[in-house]
Amino acid sequence: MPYYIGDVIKEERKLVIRTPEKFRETGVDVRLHVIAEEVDADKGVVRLSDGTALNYDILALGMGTSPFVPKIPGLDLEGVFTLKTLNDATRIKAFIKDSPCRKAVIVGAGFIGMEMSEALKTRGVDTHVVDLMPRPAVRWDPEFSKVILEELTRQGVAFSPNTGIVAIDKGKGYRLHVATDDGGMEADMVLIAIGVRPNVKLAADMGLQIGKTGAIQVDFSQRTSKEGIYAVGDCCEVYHRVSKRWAHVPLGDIANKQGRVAGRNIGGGSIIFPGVVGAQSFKVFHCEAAATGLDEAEALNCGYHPVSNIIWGNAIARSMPGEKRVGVKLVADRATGKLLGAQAVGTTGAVNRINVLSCALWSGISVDEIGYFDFAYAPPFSPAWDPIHIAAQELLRKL
Amino acid sequence: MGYKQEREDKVMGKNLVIIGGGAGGASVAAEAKRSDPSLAVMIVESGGFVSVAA
Repeated sequence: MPYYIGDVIKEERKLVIRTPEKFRETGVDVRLHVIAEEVDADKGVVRLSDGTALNYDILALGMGTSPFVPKIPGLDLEGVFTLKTLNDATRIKAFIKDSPCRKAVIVGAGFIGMEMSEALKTRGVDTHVVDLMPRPAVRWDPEFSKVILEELTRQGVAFSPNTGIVAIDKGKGYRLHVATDDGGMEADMVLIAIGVRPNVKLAADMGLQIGKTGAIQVDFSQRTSKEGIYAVGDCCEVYHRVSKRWAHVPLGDIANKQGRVAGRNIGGGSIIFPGVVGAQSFKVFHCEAAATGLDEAEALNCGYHPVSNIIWGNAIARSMPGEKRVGVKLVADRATGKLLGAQAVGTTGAVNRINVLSCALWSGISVDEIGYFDFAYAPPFSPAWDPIHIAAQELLRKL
Repeated sequence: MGYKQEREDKVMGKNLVIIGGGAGGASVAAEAKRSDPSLAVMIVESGGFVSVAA
C-alpha cells in the first residue's frame, strides 16, 4: 500500500487480488461492511452488526490486526492517520493530493514507517520520522540501522531518535502540532505506524485458546482449540522453525499460505502449514534491508549460544563497474554450528541473499556448509566468493 | 459442472462462514471452494474490500 500512496502503483484496483464479483462467480458469497459481533460456538451461529445471523458448520477466522495507537489526545483530528486497510491508503493518497500537505510526521521507524517515508517524500511531502528507539529499523543490527539512517538523511528525510509523542493539536503554520517529550513540531499530516496487535476479542469471547503471544492459538492444520473452527493470518500464531516456538508474525504472505492450508483441510484435505523462519524485508529509497531467523538476543532467549559476525562485501564481481556494497550478518549456534539468523543491507542483492539464507534456516544447515554453497555465479550478480561465503567462513573461525 | 448442479450442491453442502476477507480469509474461501465445491461459503468483511494485497 505504501507504493500505491507513493503512486508507483497508480490504481487502487491493482491491490485487489480478487473482487467480490469474482468470488461470487466461483460460488463464494461476500458480505461487505458487516461486523461479526458474536459467535455462539455451541449452536454454530454468527450474529452480525446488521441484525442478521448466519448458521455455520465450519467457521474460519481471519480478523487480522489493528494498528497500535498511543493513548494521547488529538488522534481524531483531520490529518492523523494509521495505515492498515485499503480504505486508509486511499484516504491518505487523496489527502496528499487534495489538501495542502507540505509536511508529514511519521511516528514509528519500522518497515511501514520506512516505506511511507519514501512514499511521502517522493510525493513532495517534507517528511520527519520519530521513534522511541535510538535508531530506525531496530530489528536490524545497529551497524545496518546506521546505513538506513544515512540513506534517509541523503534523501532529506529527518529522523528523531528517542522521541515519543505526547499530544497532537491544531497547529499555527501547519494543520497540526505534534507535541513530543522534548519539544514539538508542526505538520499537515501525522501517520502513526508503531505496530499492530491481533484482533482476538471475538475469539476470546467464544472461548478459544489465545497463545502467549496474544494471538489465537492454532495447530499445524490451522485448527483452533474448538472443533470446526479454524484461524488464519495475522490474528493467529505461526510456528517459528528456528525458535521452535509459536510466534506472532503478522505478514500477508504468511496469511495467504495459512489460508490455503486451512481451506484445503476444510475442503476434506489433510495438509499442514510447516511454519516460518521469520524472513522479512523492506526497501527505503536505494536501500534494501532483509532479515531472517533470530538475532542474538532472541537466540539467547531460546537457549542457544549465539555467535555472530558482520562483513561488508560487494554484491557484484569486483571487476564490474560500480561497487554495490552489501552488508551480511550471520548468527550461528556455538553448540551445533548451525545457522540461527541472518541480516543484510545494501543498494541491491540484500533480499536475494536473505532468501538463500532462509532456505538454509528452513533446512537447519550448518555454517561450514554455507561457506561452500553452490550459487548461480556470474559477474553482474555476485563475486566468485559471494559475501555469504565470506561471512560464513569468517564466522566459522569464531565458532 | 453446470449451474443447476452447483445450486444443488450448495443446498446439500456444509456451511462455511469466514470472518474477515483479508489475505487469510480470502485464501480460505478460494481453496475450500476449490477443494470441495459442495461447500456453501460466505465471507463476512467489516471493510469495503476483500482479498487486498498489503
